[in-house]
Amino acid sequence: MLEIKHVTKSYDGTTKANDDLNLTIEKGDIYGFVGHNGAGKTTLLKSIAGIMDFDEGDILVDGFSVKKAPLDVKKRIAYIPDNPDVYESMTGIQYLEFLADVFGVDVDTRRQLIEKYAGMFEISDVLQNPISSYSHGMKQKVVIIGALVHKPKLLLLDEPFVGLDPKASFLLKEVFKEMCDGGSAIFFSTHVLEVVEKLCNKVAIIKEGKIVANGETKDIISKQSLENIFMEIANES
Amino acid sequence: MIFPKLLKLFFKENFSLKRLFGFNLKQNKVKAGLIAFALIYALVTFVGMFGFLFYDLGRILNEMNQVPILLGFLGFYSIGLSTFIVFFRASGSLFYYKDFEIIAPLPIHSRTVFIAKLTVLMLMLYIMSFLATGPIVFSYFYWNGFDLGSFIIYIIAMFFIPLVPVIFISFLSLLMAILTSKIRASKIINLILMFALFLGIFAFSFSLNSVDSNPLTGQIDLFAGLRNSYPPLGWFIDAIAKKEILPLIYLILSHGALFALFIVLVFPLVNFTNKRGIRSNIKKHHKAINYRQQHIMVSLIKKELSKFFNITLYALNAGLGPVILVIASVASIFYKSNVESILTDMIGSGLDIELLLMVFLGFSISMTYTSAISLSLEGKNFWVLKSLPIKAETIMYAKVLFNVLLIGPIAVFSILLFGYSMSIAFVNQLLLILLVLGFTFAVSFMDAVFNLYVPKFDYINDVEVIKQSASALLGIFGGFALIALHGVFYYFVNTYFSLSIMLVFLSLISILLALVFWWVVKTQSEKLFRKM
Repeated sequence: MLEIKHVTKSYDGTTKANDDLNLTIEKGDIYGFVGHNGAGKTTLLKSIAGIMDFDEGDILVDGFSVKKAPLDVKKRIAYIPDNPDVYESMTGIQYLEFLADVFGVDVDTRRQLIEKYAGMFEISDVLQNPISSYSHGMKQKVVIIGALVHKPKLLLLDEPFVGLDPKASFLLKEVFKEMCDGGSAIFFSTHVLEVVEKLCNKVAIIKEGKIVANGETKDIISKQSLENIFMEIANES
Repeated sequence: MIFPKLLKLFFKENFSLKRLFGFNLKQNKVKAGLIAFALIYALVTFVGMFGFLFYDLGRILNEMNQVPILLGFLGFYSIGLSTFIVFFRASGSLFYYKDFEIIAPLPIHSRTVFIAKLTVLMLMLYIMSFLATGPIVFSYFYWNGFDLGSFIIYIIAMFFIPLVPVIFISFLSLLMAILTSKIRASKIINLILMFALFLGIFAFSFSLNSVDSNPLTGQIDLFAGLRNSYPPLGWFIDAIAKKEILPLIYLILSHGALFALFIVLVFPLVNFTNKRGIRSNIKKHHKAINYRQQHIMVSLIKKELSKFFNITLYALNAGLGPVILVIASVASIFYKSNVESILTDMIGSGLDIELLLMVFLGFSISMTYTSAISLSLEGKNFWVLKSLPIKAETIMYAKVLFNVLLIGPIAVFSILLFGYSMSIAFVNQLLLILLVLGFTFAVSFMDAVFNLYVPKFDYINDVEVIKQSASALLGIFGGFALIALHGVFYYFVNTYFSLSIMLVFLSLISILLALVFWWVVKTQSEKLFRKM
């Protein structure tokens, strides 16, 4: 589903935010991506989403290259940033309809999906209000629904659980599982290591732009907790 | 002492050069030079125009032995300006601090914060008041003769004369903030009020420019009578003109005492409103949503429309062209000669009405510059568009088309109205429409090119993009340059061809320019988007 091949990205030409990254994510994977602040997680997620250009290597989604066929890639993915900065001038439903229009989602499908997820995240009543009136959590829920409205094959999320209430976090994890059962893949960054241990079948740890551990979660945490592994890696010079 | 530190902080927050201009002057020397030039120009224009008007008024009053009436102007203008500032600033400065969540948890007494905020507001008011009324004071002391005693009384009295109106207007400002938060269309209402104010100032400046006699002479009776209707104004005038201490004491005691009382009594209210915060009247909706699938271009244009009306400053600046066109063209039906003379005053005499209209429409179109800033205004939301499967050129086309739709139909409508009122030949009306549409596309695509090459995504306040960004300036002045280009062509060629043929040529130039800029947008958008 997602192939990251030798991806390198530098902002200033000297320090590499992503340094020769290689990663493969299969259909049905829930892939956790952990690393300290500034390790390069957001840079990689933005590169996959086509928001940011990268210097070397390539990223393939469903066989399509982000560099050569960005629109084909974007049709198959959805990206949720760490901060839900969305069009505050729009109402929630205007924003969701806008996204549905962009992805060419027909009226019946969009109605079914929006009603399903808005009901699940308990924001159906406020969808006709301006996004500017929403709380941080409500904005995040709208962004999540927007990402799900076209049934993406690959869902990219940057710190998705920050700002969500416990119920919404639980529901989001359920959505992840449902999507993976349907053949999609999830790739998300997080600082909550317990979530990775319990939810993800695979995990990658990034440090200073390089992937330093990667594989099946059960294999990685077979001898010690992910927290201990993370601390050991973080303390290595 | 925490008070001076707070005062310094708030003062810097309100008046630092970076805050006022949106960028660091030391790091942007070219911009700083341009702004310095603009400021000097504005200052010279202001001092020149008002200075001369009040100097002249002083001369007339001197002949009538009525120079102290100038002090009526001084007191009234000072009160007017103060109420204007307080009306727009009091709710944000006193009742709903923008930094309340930062300040409130700090171990500073809320009374200290309130006094510091009030001090900054009053400082702003006094600085503006002294600066703006400077020409009146100059005229008064010039014609009346300078006297140190009167001058000291003037300084003292200026501090007290606006205080009572300030008290009332503060509450009015609070009331307006609460009312507008309860109304869904508050942004639109705000926009209409701002347009009315702006056009009022516009009309006032025209009235100053277009009459032969001094327009202020018409206000002499009004200001002479005002002192009787509003006694504090009489005290103000008498104290300065006659160097009488008693009226000054009346002014100081009445206004000072009321203002002190206001500070004591309003403090609990300030505490309450800041803690409660402003609550918008957001209701839960239970009615069914009417889902509709639309073409992507329609969706993108609707997105632009919602942003345009949601940011008052955006609509006010980039939407002035269409408003002026509507007003001028409708007015031409009823006040044909007045509109014609205004156009002649603005553009020049001896030109055909078609050419006057062409220049007037050109300026209105150039001032409609949404496509020069709408990409920058994506700001923190830009990730949405970049992550969606939409071609960069499609996004830019939508921005261009929005600009065209904003001004194009209104421009065509205004040509038809002008055509009717000014009896322009039908063929020339059609040719003007062709020219205006071509020019609209040329300007809109050119603006989009500017925004593609010099976007500004990193900003705190929208004003930095709308009024101060490079692409905004390039957009407006680029439009003027296109008008000049057409003008140069007309100047050299018009002797050989009839007006109708010239309109065809000018239309072709506009269409050609539109095609050139369209080609840049088409071929460069994707590449430039990737770098952003």
